[in-house]
Amino acid sequence: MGEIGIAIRTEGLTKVYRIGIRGTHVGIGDLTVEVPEGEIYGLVGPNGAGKTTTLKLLLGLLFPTSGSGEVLGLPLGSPDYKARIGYVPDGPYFYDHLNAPELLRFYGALFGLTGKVLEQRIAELLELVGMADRAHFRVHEYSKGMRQRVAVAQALLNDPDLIFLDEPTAGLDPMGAIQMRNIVLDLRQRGKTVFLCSHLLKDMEPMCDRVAIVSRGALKLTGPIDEVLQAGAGYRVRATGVSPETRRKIEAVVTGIVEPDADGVAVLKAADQKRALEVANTAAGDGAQVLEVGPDRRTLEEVFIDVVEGQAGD
Amino acid sequence: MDKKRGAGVAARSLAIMLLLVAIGLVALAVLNLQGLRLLFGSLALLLVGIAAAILLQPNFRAIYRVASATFFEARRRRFMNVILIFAVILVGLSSFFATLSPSAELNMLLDIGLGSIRLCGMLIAVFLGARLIADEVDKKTVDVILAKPVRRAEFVIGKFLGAWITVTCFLLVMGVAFFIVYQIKAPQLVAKMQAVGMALSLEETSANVLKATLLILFEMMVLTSIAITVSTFASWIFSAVFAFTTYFAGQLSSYFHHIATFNDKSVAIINPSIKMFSWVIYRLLPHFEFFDIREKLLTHDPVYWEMIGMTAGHGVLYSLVLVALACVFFSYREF
Amino acid sequence: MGRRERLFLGIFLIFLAWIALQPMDDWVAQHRIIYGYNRPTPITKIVEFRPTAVTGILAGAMLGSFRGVAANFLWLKMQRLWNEGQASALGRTGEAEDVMRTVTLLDPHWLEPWTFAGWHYSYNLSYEAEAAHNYARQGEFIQRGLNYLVEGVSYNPGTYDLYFEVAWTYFDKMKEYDEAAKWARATLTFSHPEFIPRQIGHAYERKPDIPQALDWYDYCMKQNPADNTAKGAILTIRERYLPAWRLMEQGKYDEALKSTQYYLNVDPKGRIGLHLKATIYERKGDLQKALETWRYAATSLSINWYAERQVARLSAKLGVPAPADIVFLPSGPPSLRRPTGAGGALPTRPGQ
Ligand SMILES: Nc1ncnc2c1ncn2[C@@H]1O[C@H](COP(=O)(O)OP(=O)(O)OP(=O)(O)O)[C@@H](O)[C@H]1O
Ligand SMILES: [Mg+2]
Repeated sequence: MGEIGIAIRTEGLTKVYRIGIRGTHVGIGDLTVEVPEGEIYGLVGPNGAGKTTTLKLLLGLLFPTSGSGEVLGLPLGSPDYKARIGYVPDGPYFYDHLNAPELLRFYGALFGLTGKVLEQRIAELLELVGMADRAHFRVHEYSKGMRQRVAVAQALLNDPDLIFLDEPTAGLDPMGAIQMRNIVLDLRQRGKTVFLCSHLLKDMEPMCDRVAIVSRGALKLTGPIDEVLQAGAGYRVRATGVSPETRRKIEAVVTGIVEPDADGVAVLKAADQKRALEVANTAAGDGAQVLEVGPDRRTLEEVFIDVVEGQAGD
Repeated sequence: MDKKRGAGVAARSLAIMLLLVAIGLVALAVLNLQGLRLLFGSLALLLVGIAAAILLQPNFRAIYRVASATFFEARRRRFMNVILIFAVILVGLSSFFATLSPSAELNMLLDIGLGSIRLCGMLIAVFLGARLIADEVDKKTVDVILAKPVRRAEFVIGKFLGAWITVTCFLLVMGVAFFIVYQIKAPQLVAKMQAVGMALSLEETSANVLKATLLILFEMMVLTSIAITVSTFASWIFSAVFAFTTYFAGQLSSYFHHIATFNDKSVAIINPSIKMFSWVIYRLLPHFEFFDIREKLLTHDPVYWEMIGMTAGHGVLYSLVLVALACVFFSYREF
Repeated sequence: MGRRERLFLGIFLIFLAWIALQPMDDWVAQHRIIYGYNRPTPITKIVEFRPTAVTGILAGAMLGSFRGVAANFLWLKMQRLWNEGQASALGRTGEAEDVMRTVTLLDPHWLEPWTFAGWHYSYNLSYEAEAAHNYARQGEFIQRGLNYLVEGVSYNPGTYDLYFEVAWTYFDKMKEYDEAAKWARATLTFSHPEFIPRQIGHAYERKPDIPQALDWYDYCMKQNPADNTAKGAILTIRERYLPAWRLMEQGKYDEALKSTQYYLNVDPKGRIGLHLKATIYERKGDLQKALETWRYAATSLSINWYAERQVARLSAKLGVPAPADIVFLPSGPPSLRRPTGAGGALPTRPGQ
């Protein structure tokens, strides 16, 4: 029991949608992943890749066409794990006529929470998602972001061990997005597992411990974030205004140069940190503006585009 | 842990044993051994119910929460209030028709009053039943609920109970309104009828009005369960249309029985396949006419509680069987 | 257990429960019939009707308890027509007739429209025809009223009211005494007023069937020794008609006629006497004389459909054309149908 458990495990999980009488469409095909406990797991992919489909399979809202899976050690769809999970759906909808506390009271009761415990929990959560001052609004008077916040609150009611988030930052203002991120990080801090679906790669990259890239219903790439992003162990220097003269000077040191993009930012790559600093110094001495010196991690965006476009080719 | 599992296995074996006994009882009921069909059938139903409860172990708290949420939500639907106001007006109007004879007038008061209650109850039962689950699915509110520790069957049963409680409340409001109107209008009519030597008493007719209203309650339970069951696999419009059609066809169920069992060749020869068809229809259709005691209302004969009890019991059991079917359908639905 | 297996098991259990529910279902259905909660229109009824009527019946049944509301509103309309005088004018009964017809089909167990229709035709309209000296029309109206009542009985074989209405209309308007007695006897299977057996006696007395009349009056006396009407009737019959009847039965027709004539001399237009006299002639085989006597009874008394029918009957028997002033030749009384649901055989003798 000392080893790290597996929160979610799927094996060849496949969902084929039926379209019309004959037509079929693969929502997600042959998905085999493992999500270790206590990690933030990001499922990324373009629109229509099958992220929501996967999530619904894991929640038992959809039934797999083939393959199998386990959540918290229980077979998919079993009502027994639902007491220990939370779910923030994509574009959440609620009973329109209720206000936030009423709504949370209803959902809380479904978890068997009652009385003072429940009231206190509701107050805490409304504070956490920044809705305490607008609690008396009815749901149909909510903005999209406010709904999203309530959705997060209801998902946390039972202090879940595993939480599923589908596009959690959609509709949130920058402050909201940051709060969201803090909530997620805090969950990890407390040893919870988070399963995140998004195509907002910039938000995902700094949070996730592990990512899986899906596209058109197929799993393209999966692994710990560092493995996925750090293709080589090199360093890089990002700078603007790199003159041809400078280039010549550093020619021997750099391992590659990425030509300036639209903003004039060029990337100069070096094998290790020492050489990278050398490159940066040289460039700065020649009047270039050095923006960043750091490990040569590809951005998730780059990896993603590679993977997805690579698929577009075949 | 082991103990718990052991208890689970024991409960399951018990349930399976009960089901086997139930199958035997159903066989006896079908064979009509000793003419005790009713006893065997009822016992079998009881056993199936207990076995289902043991196997599924429903979470009554979840059912209760869903039901009460449904009730509070339903009350806010605007069309319900419109129907309620409409009904109370109709019920009030029923006392304004004057005719030649007091007996026709009493008859009219009863028919129009109870008819309005029934009509409005029917509209509420059908539209509520058809839309409750469909709306949750359309608005995707069901996603969040089903991700909570609520089983789908519990959700359906909760919805059904919530709908029925709502319908019941509306019927009670309408029933009280009509009973007041009746108590104002009926005594003078009854007195006039007694004066010409007709044997009836105000107490008995009033009791009949209450019993008729009570039966409408169970009638609407069956109607709600039909609407809900169909709405678990079809659109709400289809399910509303289906429920209305079934309602009116169900009034004809005794005709199907009549055709199926008609044997007087001197009067008419009925094609055996038509007979067979009628028999199947008779067995499948809910017998909505059971809830109609109008004949007794017209003749002012007493309606026995035994009859009311059996009819209501039949309504409840029929609804439960349908709702069980709804649970099965809903459990296999994807969102 | 896989998903599919669970589905099948669930459906099997529901099917089981549904079968187990059927006995309860049948119990309620049977008891509704037995105790009169449900009186479906018998299929025989549907078979014998025009397609439009079938539609009406099925629509009514399908509306369930709403049919009462529909029937009520039609009934209100009927009353409006009535108040506007549209239902009473001779020959202009079209709309009222339609409304009445529809009400009875929509709600065949509502007795009032049947009674009303019967009464409206046999009394109101027939009276108007009589006042206009249109006797053929009058007979037609009486017959139509009776048709309504008899049809009403066929839907409501289990209630007293309409049987009595038929019996009374036969007795009082149609003057068809056998039918009147038969229908009055039918009411005896229900709880009935005390005067019914006496009424049967009256019908037999007028026919006349003296032994039957005496039997029924005796029965009345047995039921209620203080029944003075029956007592008086018995005395009168014993004194005036019984001797003649006995003589007739012994074949002593001339003596029987003499005995009858004794009282006819006192009251030449005595209905029972004249009817008895004609009956004796007919038994004797003197059809010509019988015809004349019936003729006299038909013309000398206020409208006497009974005598007129006998004239028509005997004329046909003799092969002579019926006299021109005999206008009423009904196609025959509607038979007493015994739809499903009615009790056993009717009592033909008192106390049976
Ligand atoms: N109910 C359905 N019936 C048929 N096809 C469906 C259904 N739901 C989704 N799909 C298809 O399955 C594929 C995956 O859809 P899914 O909703 O999982 O995508 P997603 O990754 O969540 O996209 P997004 O980022 O836009 O939310 C899509 O091509 C979609 O068209
Ligand atoms: Mg999605």
